[in-house]
Amino acid sequence: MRAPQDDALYLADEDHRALRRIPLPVDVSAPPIAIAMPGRPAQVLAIEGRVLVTIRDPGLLLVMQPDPTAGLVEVARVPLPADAWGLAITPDERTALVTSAWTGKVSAVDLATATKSWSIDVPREPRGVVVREDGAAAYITHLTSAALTRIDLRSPPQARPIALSPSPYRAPPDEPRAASLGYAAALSPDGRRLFVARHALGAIGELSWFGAASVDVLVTGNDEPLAPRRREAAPSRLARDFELDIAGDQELEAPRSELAPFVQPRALVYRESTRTLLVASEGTDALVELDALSVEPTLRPLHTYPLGSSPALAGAAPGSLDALSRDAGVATLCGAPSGVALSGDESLAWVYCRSTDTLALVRLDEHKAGVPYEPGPVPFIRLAKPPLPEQAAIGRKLFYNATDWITSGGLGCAGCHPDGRDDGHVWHEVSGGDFANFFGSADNRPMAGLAGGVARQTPMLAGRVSAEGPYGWNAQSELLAARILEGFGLHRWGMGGGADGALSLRASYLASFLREGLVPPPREDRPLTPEEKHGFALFTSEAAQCSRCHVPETEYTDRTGYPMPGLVARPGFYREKKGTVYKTPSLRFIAGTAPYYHDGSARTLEALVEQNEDRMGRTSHMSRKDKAALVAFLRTL
Amino acid sequence: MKKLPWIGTVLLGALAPAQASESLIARAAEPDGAAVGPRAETGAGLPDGREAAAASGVRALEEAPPAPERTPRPAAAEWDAAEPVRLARDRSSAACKARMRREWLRIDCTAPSLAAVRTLGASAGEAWFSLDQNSSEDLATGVSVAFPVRLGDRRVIEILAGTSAYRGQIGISTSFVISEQWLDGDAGPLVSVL
Ligand code: HEC
Ligand code: HEC
Repeated sequence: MRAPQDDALYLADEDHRALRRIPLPVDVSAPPIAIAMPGRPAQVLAIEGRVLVTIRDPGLLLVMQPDPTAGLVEVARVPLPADAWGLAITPDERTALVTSAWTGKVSAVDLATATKSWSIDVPREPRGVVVREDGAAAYITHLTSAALTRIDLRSPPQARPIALSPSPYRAPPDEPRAASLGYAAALSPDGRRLFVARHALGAIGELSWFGAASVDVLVTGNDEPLAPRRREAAPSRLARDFELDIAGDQELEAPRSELAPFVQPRALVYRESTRTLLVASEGTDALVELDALSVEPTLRPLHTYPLGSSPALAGAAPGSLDALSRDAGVATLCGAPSGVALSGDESLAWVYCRSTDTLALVRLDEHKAGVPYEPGPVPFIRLAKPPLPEQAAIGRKLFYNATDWITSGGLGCAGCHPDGRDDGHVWHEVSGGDFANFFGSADNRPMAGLAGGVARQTPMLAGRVSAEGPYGWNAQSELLAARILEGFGLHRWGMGGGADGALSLRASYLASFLREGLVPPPREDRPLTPEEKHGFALFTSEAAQCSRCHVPETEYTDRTGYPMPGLVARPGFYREKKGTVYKTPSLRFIAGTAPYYHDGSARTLEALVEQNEDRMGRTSHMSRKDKAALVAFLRTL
Repeated sequence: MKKLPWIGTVLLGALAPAQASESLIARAAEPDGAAVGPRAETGAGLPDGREAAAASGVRALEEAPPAPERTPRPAAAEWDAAEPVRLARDRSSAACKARMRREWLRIDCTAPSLAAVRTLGASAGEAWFSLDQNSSEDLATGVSVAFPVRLGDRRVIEILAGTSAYRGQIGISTSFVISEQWLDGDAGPLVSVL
């Protein structure tokens, strides 16, 4: 398929707004060519004589052509719904399919004419896209839900959800878990199995607090999960005299293997020659190889290639970025792996490491009897200097990192705030005598009798953290760094800890990254429509009072806590303590952060306004049309 | 298009010839100069099970699927005459041996401190389990699993080891997992022991 004169690796470097072209074979001493992009590139795909790139903001599909001097030159650009992200082409190479993450759309681009053929609405945060072998349909993965979307590629195109519950053996038989982080999917070479890497939120297991990592397989012949349903009272045999009551104990009934052999799966490739899968584990700075022939590949990983640090860097100069990174417990060689490609003979994987701006060259296990894998140093190329000042650059490494024990018990900030946004999940905050932890579901129990906790929905951070404070749903933290410190204790099983200096240093690095490094989602810059204007008038009216608390000048919040009368605890959660107050949340980017409220009790903005009555401001006097206008205005924020 | 090896944010346009030949050199140095199958010569490696099968001459289950039958589970004596088969992948340290009799597959493994064996999920067909336990021992040192292998099957079996968990309590952890699947369109049954 490749043009022989174009032996190159292409890499979308979002943080530097550049596309990089790395000639092959990789020469560690030759710097790759960087091609400036009109916005942050998300994914790149090379086909015969052309290179396609998605651009997030403005939403675009760029069509480029190799060029001997410039590396690549643009031949066409196709405007698409903003936050263009995932990219795939149909088997006939005539059509490109693009997911637009923030705007929740999937579009088709006719490559012959470089024009958009159609765009359709899909649920929140569509990311990965894969086209069926027969070209009849595409599968879309989402960051914030377990179901995939299947789009039948006929005219008009049609979208429908496909159930694929994550990690089915770690959930009660009729209570599938929620999933997050569905960035990536891959088909087997014959197209008959689709592999999807994600997090199973609230999956059951020993010391499980956030859940489990999971690659789930869909049979494309009938769009059914490959894994057969978990059976209640599954047949088993126990060793004689083995005294352990397994039946009825959820944790003992679930598989007893490692919960998270990878954390924050960011990319996935199928390795045909060994029939294995390679997962880029953003949180643990590793590449993890799984058996593609297994019904549940995640249960027994075949190989983990650790990439985080190079021994050669142990002697980094004091005060250098490497030394500071090491002190903060984060990667120096390959941090936050977010892309993987295989060499033609599949003996080598190239891994793009986002938070260290490096490309690692990973020699892979041959998986042959009698050929043991000898680990050795991992060669790498430094692609660029960090795009941020030092404090924020270390904060960026910490944001993706799930291994530094001081910041979390095994899940990075990006595990719940992907892209600085939210996972759409309502966490269970359970407190005991001297701890408070987040749990993914009421089935994750810190101790007998303690389950459920209070509901805390993950808030979006990008574009909402410029104010000094206070932070937290209950306005409990005066300053941003204080809320981050509180989080270090929440994101784990049991108690965290560390020297005060180590804790506060990390919190300040992270605060810098949250403010300087997170990129707010795209927002359309256009005059309000008459309906939206009417909504604005209602929002700011004396009668409705919305803007009293959601103050437009300060990100649509007054950052003050208010009691919320008439709150009922949602099933599976505790009732809140009397007198609890809730901070007025910012309404910036509210269109894309469903569900709403600290407990996620309003599924849509329409439902929120409809059910509000006069709990928050006043809406009971509004007509149907007024309410629709108010919602239309909220969507522009 | 099918072969475009891309994923995530990175894309590979082509392969590096230097690297390709490197792996071919590695391949030439195979153990005992064992016969290398035609697939290997094209540069594609074989996953563990198939590799070993090619080397030993034992029939690979995937390449010689059983006939569509519904027979009762073979009696103990029948297994003695069963034909050894190779699985698609065997990477456990449990020294497993697999045999076929009609459409029934039996896998016998040895591993320390075995406490239990159970089905996590199965589309159809009952599995039969037996633990090999010395009368003086608390735990078993061997396990046998037998199940019918039929088109359409999907099955996951977990074998557990006893552990002494925290505060001296006993616990269980996964020792290895047997996975079986045979979908319409597959060359044959895919069975992994990991
Ligand atoms: C397990 C999921 C999870 C992880 C991991 C996580 N967060 Fe959060 N985050 C939440 C939830 C839920 C809340 C709301 C709880 C509250 O504020 O009381 C929250 C709230 C916040 C807030 C307050 C926002 C506001 O507007 O008040 C900040 C800041 C924040 N997180 C930053 C971080 C950072 C930095 C990290 C990494 C160190 C991180 N989070 C890791 C789930 C998570
Ligand atoms: C008294 C202050 C106050 C007034 C007045 C007020 N709000 Fe709120 N608003 C809040 C608080 C506090 C919350 C969070 C409540 C919770 O999480 O349970 C909230 C939450 C919201 C949310 C959900 C935000 C999210 O991210 O989940 C929306 C949307 C919203 N308000 C819109 C409005 C509208 C529209 C009006 C006018 C009709 C209004 N608010 C009036 C204080 C107020």
